[in-house]
Amino acid sequence: MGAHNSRWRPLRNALLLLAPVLLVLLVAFVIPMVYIFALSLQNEEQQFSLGNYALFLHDSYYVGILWRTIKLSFYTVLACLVFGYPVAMFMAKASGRMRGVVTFLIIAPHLISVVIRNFGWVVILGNKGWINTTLMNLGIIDKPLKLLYNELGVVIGLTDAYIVYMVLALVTSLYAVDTSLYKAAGILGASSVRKFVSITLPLSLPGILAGSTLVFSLSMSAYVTPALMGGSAVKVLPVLTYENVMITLNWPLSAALSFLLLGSTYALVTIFTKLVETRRYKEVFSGA
Amino acid sequence: MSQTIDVELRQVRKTFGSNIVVDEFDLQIQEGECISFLGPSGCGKTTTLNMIAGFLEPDGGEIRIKGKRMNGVPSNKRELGMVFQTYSLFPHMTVAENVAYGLKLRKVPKAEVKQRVAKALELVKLPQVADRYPKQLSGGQRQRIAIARALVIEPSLLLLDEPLSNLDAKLREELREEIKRLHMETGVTTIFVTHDQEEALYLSDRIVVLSNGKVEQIGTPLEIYNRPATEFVHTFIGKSNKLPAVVEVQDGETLQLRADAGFKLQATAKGQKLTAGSAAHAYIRPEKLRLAVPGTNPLGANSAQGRVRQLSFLGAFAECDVEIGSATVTVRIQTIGEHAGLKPGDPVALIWHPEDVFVFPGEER
Repeated sequence: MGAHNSRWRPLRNALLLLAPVLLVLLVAFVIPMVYIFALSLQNEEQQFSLGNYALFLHDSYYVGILWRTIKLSFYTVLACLVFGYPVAMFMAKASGRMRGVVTFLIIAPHLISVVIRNFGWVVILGNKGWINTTLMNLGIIDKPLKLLYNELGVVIGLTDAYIVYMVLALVTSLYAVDTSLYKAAGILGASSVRKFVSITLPLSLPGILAGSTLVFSLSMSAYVTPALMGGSAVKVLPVLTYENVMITLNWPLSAALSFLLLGSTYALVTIFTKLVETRRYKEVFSGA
Repeated sequence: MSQTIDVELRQVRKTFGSNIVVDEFDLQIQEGECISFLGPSGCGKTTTLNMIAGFLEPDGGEIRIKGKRMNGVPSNKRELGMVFQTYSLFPHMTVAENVAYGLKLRKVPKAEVKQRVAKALELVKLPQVADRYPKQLSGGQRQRIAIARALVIEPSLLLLDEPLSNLDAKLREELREEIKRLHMETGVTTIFVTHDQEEALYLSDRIVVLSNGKVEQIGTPLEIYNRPATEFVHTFIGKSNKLPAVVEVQDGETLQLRADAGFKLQATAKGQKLTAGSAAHAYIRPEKLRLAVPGTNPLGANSAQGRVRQLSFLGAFAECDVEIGSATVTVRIQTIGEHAGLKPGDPVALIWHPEDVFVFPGEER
């Protein structure tokens, strides 16, 4: 009996400790999800139907919006990688004090609401914004560049919003790289470019994977930035869902859109993870 | 050994801020030699190695490898092999890929890479681990692979930066034998940085003893041990009993001293000239002292009467601490035979030969 008791005690303690958060997740997440899923399987007469999903998949307008959502999220991940990697490399090399300063600098903008920051971009990128007026005054362009209310504007806004996740994920994995590896590669004949390609990049794969997954998921479900910086010209799935909830009041279709968004995000993240996590990746980065 | 000079340091100097880390470093290394840089941490040995490797630029003087001036040449253009204290194997590459890294950078044909990697792994006696990842190897195996990776490119010079410091005592001995064997087999000119005097004595053709950025002495292990140029060299290598003393008279090669502890001793001067009445530090190594029957004086002036204070058994031998007046000296003794029954409090006599007493000038009193 005693042995039986002690075997279950860790599990019981774990459940007790997890109970509060499990309860919150059940009430605020699992039950609503089940409800929304059930809703997505109803037609307007409240009968079981796959009609909402069929409607979506047969309508090139809807499929186009899904495709655009995926494309913009993908571009955002790329932009975050390209602009975030140098910052992360700088931070990984910097002294403790400098790293603290840079961390604060990249987190600080997030103390301001995303709505305000998006309007800030409007001031910078608009037809009469700083960039266009400066370029026109310098005589480099005759008419303003279109930097806003198009796909470019959305990617700029999303990159600004989510690059911090990419940088922090990259710093964590770059910081774990033993700096003597660079010396070893150097003395074996590697140039700086070669060291980056053969040492830095492969060893930061866990950071690239974590950062990309985070930024991709967040971009797929972003509403505010696409709405403010894309306008009606660049409709993405979350914006479409919102319109169906608030304007056309077609809740079953909105529910189906939500699940299509969730499903496609999950599928793409899984495919990406499988592609990165090769046998070698597991050998090298699995614990111990 | 041919008389080609492989590496030459001329008045090499390095400062960090106002701190002089290496100063006036002159050294010529012959082809095929194994040289140790020996000294305590902060003596400048690793800084000097980093300058030879090209990770640091000297602030003065010049470094030549195979006759070519290396100042300003980046480390990836120096054709050196290097082994680090932390192994520094690439964790995302297999053992074979690690060893092949330098060859691929040199655009060696694939078939030849394969063959040379196999040969290098044979050389360090680890051909069976080629497809494993570094973390699946023990510390000793990792360091052997690191050596194979450094040697496979046939470097003009092999640099070893405290390669044994992260290993436990048993492995350290095994690997240092391995390094000696590899040096004999490959004949590659080698610089070995260590703070362990035993490693330096074991491995090197010549040792450079460093202290506070200055070269104290350059010599063969025997010269360093038997003819130390400075007090630092004598005390850093091996154990020695320090006896503050006053010089009574120098008669040619014979020095008469009076130890502060209250007894007389005779020493053979090794080139030094000391004035009568000046302060000195006399040293005798524990293995150069002998115990004798108390009250006897078989070597005339070179003996003292004392009492056993403490005995420490160390396996192959024992150490006996003997009180002579106000001083305590350590004597190395055999654990079997005549000294087997010795115990604390026993009266003993100590005897020594004048040529085993090292005398260095002491601070004025």
